[in-house]
Amino acid sequence: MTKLPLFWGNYKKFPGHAVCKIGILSLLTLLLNLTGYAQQLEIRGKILDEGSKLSVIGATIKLKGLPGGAVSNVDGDFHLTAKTLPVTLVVSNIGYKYQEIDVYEAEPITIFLSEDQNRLSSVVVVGYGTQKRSDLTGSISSIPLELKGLPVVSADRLIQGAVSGAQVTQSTGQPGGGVSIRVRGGTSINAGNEPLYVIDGFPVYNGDATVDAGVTSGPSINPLSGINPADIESIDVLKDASATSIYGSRGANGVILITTKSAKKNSFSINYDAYFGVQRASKKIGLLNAEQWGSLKNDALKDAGKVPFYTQEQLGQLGEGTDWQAAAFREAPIQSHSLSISSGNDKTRILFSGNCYLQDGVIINTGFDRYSGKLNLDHEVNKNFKLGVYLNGSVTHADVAPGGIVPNILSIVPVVPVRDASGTFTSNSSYGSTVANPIATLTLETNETNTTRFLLNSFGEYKIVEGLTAKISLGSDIISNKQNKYLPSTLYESSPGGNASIGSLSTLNWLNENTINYKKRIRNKHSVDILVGNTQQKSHTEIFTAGASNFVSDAFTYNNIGSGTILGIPSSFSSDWVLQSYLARINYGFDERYFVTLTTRADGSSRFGKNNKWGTFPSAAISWNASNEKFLKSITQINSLKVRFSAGLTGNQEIDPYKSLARLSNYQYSFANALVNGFATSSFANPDLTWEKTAQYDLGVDLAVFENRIQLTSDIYYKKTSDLLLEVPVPFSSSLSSAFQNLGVVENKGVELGLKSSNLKGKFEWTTNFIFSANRNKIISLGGASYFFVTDPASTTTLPTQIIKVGESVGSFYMYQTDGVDAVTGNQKYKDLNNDSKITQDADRKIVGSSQPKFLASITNNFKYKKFDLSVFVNSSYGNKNFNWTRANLELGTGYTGAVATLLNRWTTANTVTNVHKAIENPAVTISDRFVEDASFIRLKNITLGYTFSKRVLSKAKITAARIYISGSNLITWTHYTGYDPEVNTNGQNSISSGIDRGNYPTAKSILGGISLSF
Amino acid sequence: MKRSIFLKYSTLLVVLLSLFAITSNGQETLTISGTKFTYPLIEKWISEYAKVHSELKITLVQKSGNAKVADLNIIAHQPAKEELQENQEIIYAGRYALLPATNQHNSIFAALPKKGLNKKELDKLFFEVVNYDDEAKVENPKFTATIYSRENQACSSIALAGYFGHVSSEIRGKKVTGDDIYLLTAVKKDSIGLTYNNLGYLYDVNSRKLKDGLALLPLDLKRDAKDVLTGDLDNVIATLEKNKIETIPVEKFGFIYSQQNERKEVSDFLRWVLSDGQKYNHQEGFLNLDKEVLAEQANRLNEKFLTLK
Repeated sequence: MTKLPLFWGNYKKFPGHAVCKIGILSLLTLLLNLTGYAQQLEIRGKILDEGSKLSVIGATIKLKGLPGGAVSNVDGDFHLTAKTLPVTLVVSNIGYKYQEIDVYEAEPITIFLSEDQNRLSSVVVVGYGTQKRSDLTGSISSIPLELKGLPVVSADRLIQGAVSGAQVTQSTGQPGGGVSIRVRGGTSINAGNEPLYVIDGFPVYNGDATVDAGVTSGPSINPLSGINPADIESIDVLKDASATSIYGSRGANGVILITTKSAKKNSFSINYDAYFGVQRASKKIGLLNAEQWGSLKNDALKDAGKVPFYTQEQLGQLGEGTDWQAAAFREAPIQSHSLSISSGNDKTRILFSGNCYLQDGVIINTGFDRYSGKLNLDHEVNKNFKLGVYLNGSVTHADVAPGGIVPNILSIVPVVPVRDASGTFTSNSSYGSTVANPIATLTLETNETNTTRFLLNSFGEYKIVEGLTAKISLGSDIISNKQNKYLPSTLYESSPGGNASIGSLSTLNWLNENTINYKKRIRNKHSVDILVGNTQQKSHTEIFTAGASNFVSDAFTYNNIGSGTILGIPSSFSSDWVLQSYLARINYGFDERYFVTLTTRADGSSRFGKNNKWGTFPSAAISWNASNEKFLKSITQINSLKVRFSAGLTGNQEIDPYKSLARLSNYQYSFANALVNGFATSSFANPDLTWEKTAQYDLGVDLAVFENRIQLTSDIYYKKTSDLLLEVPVPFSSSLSSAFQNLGVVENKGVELGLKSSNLKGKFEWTTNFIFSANRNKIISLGGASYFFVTDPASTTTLPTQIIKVGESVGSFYMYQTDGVDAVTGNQKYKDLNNDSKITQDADRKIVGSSQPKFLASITNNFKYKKFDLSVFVNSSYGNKNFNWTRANLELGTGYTGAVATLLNRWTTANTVTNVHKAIENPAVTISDRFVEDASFIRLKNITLGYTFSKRVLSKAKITAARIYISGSNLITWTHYTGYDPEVNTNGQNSISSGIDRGNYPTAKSILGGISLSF
Repeated sequence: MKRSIFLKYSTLLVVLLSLFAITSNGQETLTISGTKFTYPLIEKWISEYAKVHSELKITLVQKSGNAKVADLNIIAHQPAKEELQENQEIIYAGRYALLPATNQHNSIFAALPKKGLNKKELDKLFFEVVNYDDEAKVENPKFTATIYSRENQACSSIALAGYFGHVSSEIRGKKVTGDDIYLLTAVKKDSIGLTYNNLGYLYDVNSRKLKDGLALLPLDLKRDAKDVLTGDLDNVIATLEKNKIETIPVEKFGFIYSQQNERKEVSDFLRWVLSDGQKYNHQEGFLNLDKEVLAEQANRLNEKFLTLK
């Protein structure tokens, strides 16, 4: 171009004719080129979101049938070139409807993409169907999208802090370990309190015993851990009677609906998700080192008037000693790989996925592995008939930390080495109390549980006429659990010659559901949705266990029980239960403003007495969508406002199947010095035994304002559970200590709040999700009794720590109150509540707190800037107490076992002003409020930083989407609790013995790196 | 050399100033922008108005260019509340009808019901509503067809969807940018193409007959409305002005003006459109407003511009 001036002016002045020729040729060439460029038409445009009118970044624009394309930039702008017009642009972006646009003019175009409304964002899964979220009358919370992708082992852990009204307690840090959930408080005392899970339409009670043959010791494994969380599309928690009464006798504790992913129509995709990481114990408990422990030992002996164990010189030589926690804990790897292939056309949709999850525990030789597969198939035979099959299969293996291993790690004395000079494990420490070498136990003992589970649900649905469909579904849940335990002869706690036991559990649970559904809109004003149905479910479980000891060799471990010379008593057991139900629900909506839901379910259960086999559970609910009223429509700031009210009755049937029957159990008797078997009554018949009934009321408000940027859901509720299935003490003269009866009343009331806000939009996006729940639990009546003590299942011989008392909450701690340390004697003082100068069990114990939190709160902040996303999830619990049994034992100061570092501040003649008693061999009472600790906490549950690659970069590698992320879990916990973790429950799902810490498997903190790829 | 540069710049300056003087020339200007399918009528109005008001130069400007600064913006759908600013008003100037059209060789005719398509059938044919009550399922139409419509924010798309109780994003098929006339180009090229379009584009305004290559979809019409499909453009207009036909959307179009920049030229032009200009509506394939509505527009105009009289 710079040479063009050559052609201006006098032609003859050019240096030479040749140059002139070249110049003219150059000009011609240039003009031809320019013509060529002129044929390249430039198409410029902008892509905007139809709703928000904000720019859509990263949309792909292609010329149909032609190579090349463009991606919209941060302002939504794009440009591409075409040779001729018209052309067809193909515009696509995840989350938006695909569009084809014919362009006839080269003028700038504005393309508005409308959201491809995710069915699950507008629609919520309800019992036996789906419903528009705007039409709901009940209280239902769904797991927000941003928390669904958290790297967790099981789906129920996704609920923690994600929905209001659900208290999720991880009862152990054992990989794959159990979880306990309370939806709007515990309604029961002796019966199960876990919610009902409905997985792809199949109802499952997630009791820990579901996959426990009873041989493995230590924490239970979560039955839901067989399902890969990456396969889950949605989790909806049904809370009030309107939502749960369609599940009748199983709805009182809430219902959790889990829907797995299915393929979409006319699409094909391959997704690969993987993460790798490392975990470590979130905390070590401060213990006395060898020298400090030696000094304690000496003090305790001196207090008892005995000769000290160590001389001063020997004490100095003890040094640090063994750090048993360091020997037991490790940095443990974790990894998960999920691959899914989904394909769909107009008729058939199929999704197959596989997952491999390998998690080592932070305690050596513990861990959890899962291999699972999923197949979801939907097929439309013709326009009236469709079929579907949903199958989840999994094989899990867990090396479980043996029962009592953590207390042993903490209480074995530091002067004992892990291995002796010859390299073999030391057997135990024996300085008054014998503690087996926990590292030897962890290394040599086999304590494993293996579960294979197939959950299948299939259906056929036929459209009889427009709006009227009939559906039949058939499903089964097949569980096989095998547990193996072997203690080799070299272990201190083993029997001579080794000790083997095996157990097997198999369950076949089948389900048939038949429903008819009629949906009709009349004159665009009235909407009617009627559901009637009949279901039957049957479960059969068999368990057997066997064991032997004194083997010739440890070589066979648990695989050759017959070779043991001492055979244990084998056991076998089977149980069945059947549930038959009839259900009906009517949803009526008028003018998108007024909605009514009437539901009823009649359940007949084999678990109850012959006089009360059937129960009916009705509910009614109304909602008013005020924002659709004319007078509110003009207030543009309000996008939706709904008021809901529901009332209804639900039930709880979670008791062992034969509780209503008189049962005999075998007992061994000694006749003439010989043991003989005999049978005696173990339970009385109660033909009137029936459901726990929970009447509940819910008033809720849903509000969205400022273009949905602030969304609030709030509920207040009241639940009153009567006819409690209670283990009631009976006179010993009856030959039994207790009988199961319907007695007593418990109430739960509370408030829930969910607040979601979109704080910043545009280049930098910031959203916040805040959840708050407060529940108050109170025992109203115990059928005449005013209280009873709770026997801790983990230690039936020790003094109870908890009480069930009228007027108080379940989980109340009942014990002595400490009153400082006697400055003269160094002994722990207790309050003499009745001032009789004696400390007695009957008169000087009182309620000192409860394991029930005053409130739960969590907050999730999500940030997005360009291709980066950051999610920070903090959850908290306030006001709940734990009884720290571990510390109570470690603070005895006997010198028999290891001890906590607080004993450094113990009373001595030189340190008389202290709150820690002296070293003493016989400290007597230990169950006091000193060990009831505040278990409130605030936890940085998860922080994840992700980067999504630009489509332009990926298209070369034929990848449609890619994201990498780094995620940290449980990184920081702010708490005053001195145990490993304030979130603890040694007794798992047991409600009345909650909040007890007997040296639980410590929670892990983890750092993971992950990648998600879509092809 | 310096002198030469000075001369060049002086000449350029003189030329530019002359051009400016010519354009100014004491003539006021008025700019109009908006929905393109109304342009043939607007252009007609402009040319006829110029004959009696040579002091005013009215120009149509590209919507994508200076739409916001145009004195009058044409709108051909019922605006949502947020579409109009506080100081903006609409003066309606006419109506238009949307008829379903297709390629004349489309084999769909054999499959269509003899009595023609009713409103419900048209709804199913042109719109796609995800049934959120059920599995993510889209109700498939009975006939194989490619629907062509303007982009979701275009007036004709909003009007069409609104008439059938939908939003424009629920119209099936492909989008066409630029102008509604291209919908007919698309349908002519696609033997299974279906679209909706206004009479001014569907009919040749000179011959008053349907344009070559196009056919109207048969509609379920009452006897006195049959002329809509068989007659010429004038018959169609007359029938539609006389009857309200359920299967045919008829929508108003008008001018959005801002009260903030009230100008006498604007009110004069609008007053002319509502009086003398109306006789060109039929000629360009548009329907007149009902007498009452027309009178109301005139009244509102007078009220709004009272101070400028």
